[in-house]
Amino acid sequence: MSEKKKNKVLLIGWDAADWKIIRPLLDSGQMPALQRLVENGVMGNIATLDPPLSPMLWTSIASGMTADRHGILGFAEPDPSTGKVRPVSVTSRKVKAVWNILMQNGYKTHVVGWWPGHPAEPLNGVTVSNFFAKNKKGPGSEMMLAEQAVHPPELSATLEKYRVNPGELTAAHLLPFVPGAAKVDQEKDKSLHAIANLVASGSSYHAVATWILENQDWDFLALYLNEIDVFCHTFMRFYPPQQAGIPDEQYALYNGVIDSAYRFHDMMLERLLELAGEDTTVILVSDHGFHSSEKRPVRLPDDPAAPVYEHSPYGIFCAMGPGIRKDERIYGATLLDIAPTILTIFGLPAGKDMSGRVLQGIFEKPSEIERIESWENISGDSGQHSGEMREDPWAAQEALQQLVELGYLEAPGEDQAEHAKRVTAESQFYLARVFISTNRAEQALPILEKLFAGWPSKLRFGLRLAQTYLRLKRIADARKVIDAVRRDEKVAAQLPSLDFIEGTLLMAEHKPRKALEMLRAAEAKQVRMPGLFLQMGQVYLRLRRWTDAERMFIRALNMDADNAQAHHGLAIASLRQEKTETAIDEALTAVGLLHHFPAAHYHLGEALIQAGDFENAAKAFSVCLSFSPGNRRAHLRLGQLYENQLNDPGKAKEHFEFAAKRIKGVVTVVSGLPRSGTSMIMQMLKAGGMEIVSDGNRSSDDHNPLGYYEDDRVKRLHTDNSWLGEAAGKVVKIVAPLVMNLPPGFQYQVIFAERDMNEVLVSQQRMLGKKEETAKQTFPVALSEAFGKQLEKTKAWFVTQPNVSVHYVRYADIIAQPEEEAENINDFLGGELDSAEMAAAVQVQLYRNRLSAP
Amino acid sequence: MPNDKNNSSPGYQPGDTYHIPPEGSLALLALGARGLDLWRKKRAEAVKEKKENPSGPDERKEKE
Repeated sequence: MSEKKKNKVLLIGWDAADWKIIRPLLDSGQMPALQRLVENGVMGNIATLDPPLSPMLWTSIASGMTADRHGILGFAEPDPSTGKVRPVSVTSRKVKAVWNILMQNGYKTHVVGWWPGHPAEPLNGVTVSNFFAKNKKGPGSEMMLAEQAVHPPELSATLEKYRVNPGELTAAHLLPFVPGAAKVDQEKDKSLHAIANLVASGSSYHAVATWILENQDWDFLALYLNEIDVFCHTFMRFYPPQQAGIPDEQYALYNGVIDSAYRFHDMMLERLLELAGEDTTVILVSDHGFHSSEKRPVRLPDDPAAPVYEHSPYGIFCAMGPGIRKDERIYGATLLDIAPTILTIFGLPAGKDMSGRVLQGIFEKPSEIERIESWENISGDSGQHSGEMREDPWAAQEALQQLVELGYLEAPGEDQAEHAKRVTAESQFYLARVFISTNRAEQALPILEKLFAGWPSKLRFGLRLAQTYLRLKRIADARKVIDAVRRDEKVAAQLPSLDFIEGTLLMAEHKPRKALEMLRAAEAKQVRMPGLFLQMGQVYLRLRRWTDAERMFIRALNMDADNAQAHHGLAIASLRQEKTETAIDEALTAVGLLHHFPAAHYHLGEALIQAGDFENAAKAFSVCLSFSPGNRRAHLRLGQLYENQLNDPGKAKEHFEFAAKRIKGVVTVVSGLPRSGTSMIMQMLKAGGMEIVSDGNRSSDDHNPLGYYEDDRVKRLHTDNSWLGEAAGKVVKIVAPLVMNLPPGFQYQVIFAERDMNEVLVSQQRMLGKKEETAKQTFPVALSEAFGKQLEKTKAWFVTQPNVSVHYVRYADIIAQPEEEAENINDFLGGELDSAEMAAAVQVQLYRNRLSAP
Repeated sequence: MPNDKNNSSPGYQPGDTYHIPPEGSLALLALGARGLDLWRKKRAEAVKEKKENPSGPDERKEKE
């Protein structure tokens, strides 16, 4: 073994390790090695990525890149040579891992058990793939070492003997996990086999890592252990407290398995720390956490990746070594930060194509190293597989399919081909989720649209598509998808998350009462989606039911005490009930958890005004404006504070002027295609008490017996908008083709009428003088397409306008349920109108030109 | 070598002697390659001894 050098890094991966399980073990002295790591280094949460699938995540940890760039998209992939499905392979990784970069820079690097890591990469040190400990023949039988599991191959014989066969383990290895093991009927219950397999595999990789540390030169060693994850998936249902449905005898047998697994990992950690020595930076990381106690899912959905629902969004991060701060907590780490941080420890720059940042907060003396464009362009032996081996399996599958179609290759069996097709669809689904989670929803959309069109029975494709439409504010498109999913009532009934997503959709459609019904249905089905109570709290806030909102946010916090949105919601509910101190505390907690949270700073300001603490209130509004400079309400609040309490007329004027300049007022707009119900909505708003902007030039006729409520100036809006100030606080009708001429400077509340396109066109043709029957028989296709495009364009424009909020309302719904739609419109506008009068203004007999019953 | 009574602390000294049970322990596995070698050696010795002396005690306490 060589003399130890500085800047050595030992990276240890514990799949699924979670502080919530570790903390009591640390407190009771049961994980002394980890305790040493925590006390002598930094620790904190590390945020996972979506989807939380281990091969994708560990490749992101290794590369600093998201899965769309690194190319690992799930657990399985098509085999480029056969078209069959195989476990995901390291040859599909399109980019360099940190160990490839280190090797290129002359460091001796070793990798043990990384997932995916097969076939073993030809590094300048030892590589042992994740197939090393695979037991082909089951416990007790001979174990065959997979080909290409060890590099260099000449070390295979030496390392093979460090594979632990589950069959050689004894009661001494299993009793610490299951003290009552003698009571287990091993014919029926295979739990002891499962534990033996896990102890054996973990020990195998660990033994190889210790052998390398004792016998090889090394600068970097990465060791990955997936056993905690598998222990948790298998035994979390027995973890205390005892869950309903878990029999007493089973609980008594297995409730300590998970704690024992952590203790065993701590024992292994102890040995690694000892061998690494004090001049090594040790980094311990997990890829996600694991739900314990009340967050454990009651049941898992029918989904190939269903176990990921048991994963929680935060894993663990610890680092200890030369130059690392001691006994400190760090915040805000993500999996993507590990690779850039390791490069910094070695004095190397990260690539600009790495999405992660360097965790400067872990260093005693932080130093910035200027990034290079990309390590991918730097030549030199990096220990990656040769170009021929590194093949894109998805592209290869397409090429293979073409060869099959041309008759050059025999097609894989129908089952295998179907399997490969399903795997490809799943990988595309995961890719879409990567785009969504990295704020690239528009890139996810075509993938999801294609998936849902091709696999309409895969409801999770549909649900994700609906959520993506929602995110892009394409509410009507989201509605179409949800309605399509709902069509199969039997399947939909088995999909509790559908209710939750539809509840969210109904909120976006400004139908809070219906949203509440739907969310309650989801709750009754025991949906454990983290956002459920949060969403219910938001609905109650919207309905001004403060105590109910408070109750829901508390429930959300019982599930996740660190949820900044829930603390913020609780702050608002408390504020409205004049529970001032609670409001302040909760708002402070929210901004403590998530500093970049302008709405929480704003409500903190409101709570401080309520408490009479005007100076701090001004500070809170100022912080809000630092994140959201155009927030008119914050400017107005500051203006009022400086004018009335803080005696600074200059500043007051500044803020009032800014608010006045920025936003000249709120204009309500009724829009939609001509003949889609816009005049009827104008009538409703007038009846509800709103002032109408109308010049009265166009009088009522047979087509609109109650009047058009139009104003000729609207037609010239693109050339003259000087009159729009008159519309502040009032409602004006602007048909869809003109609405994009609305100038900035106002806040717009748009009520957008939607009606079946056929009905719209028939109605328009009738207005143009055609007879009803003729109009119904001659359908103007080109016009329909043009209007359809116009609507799409208008809706897309709405999404891009920060000062526009839109409430979509269907003409048929107003006719069918005028009371409810009136309530919804009133809610959208702030609840000051008379909903009953609005509903009474709807005259069903005027619903003509219908093509089918409403 | 640390034994399984004190498997979590590095507080051992060179020259200390420890018991290696033939049936193994998690502590020996946690020692990694070295622990695995020691356990398997002890286990082989115990098997051999049992073959040579079938009437002897199943397990003998030994010091390494």
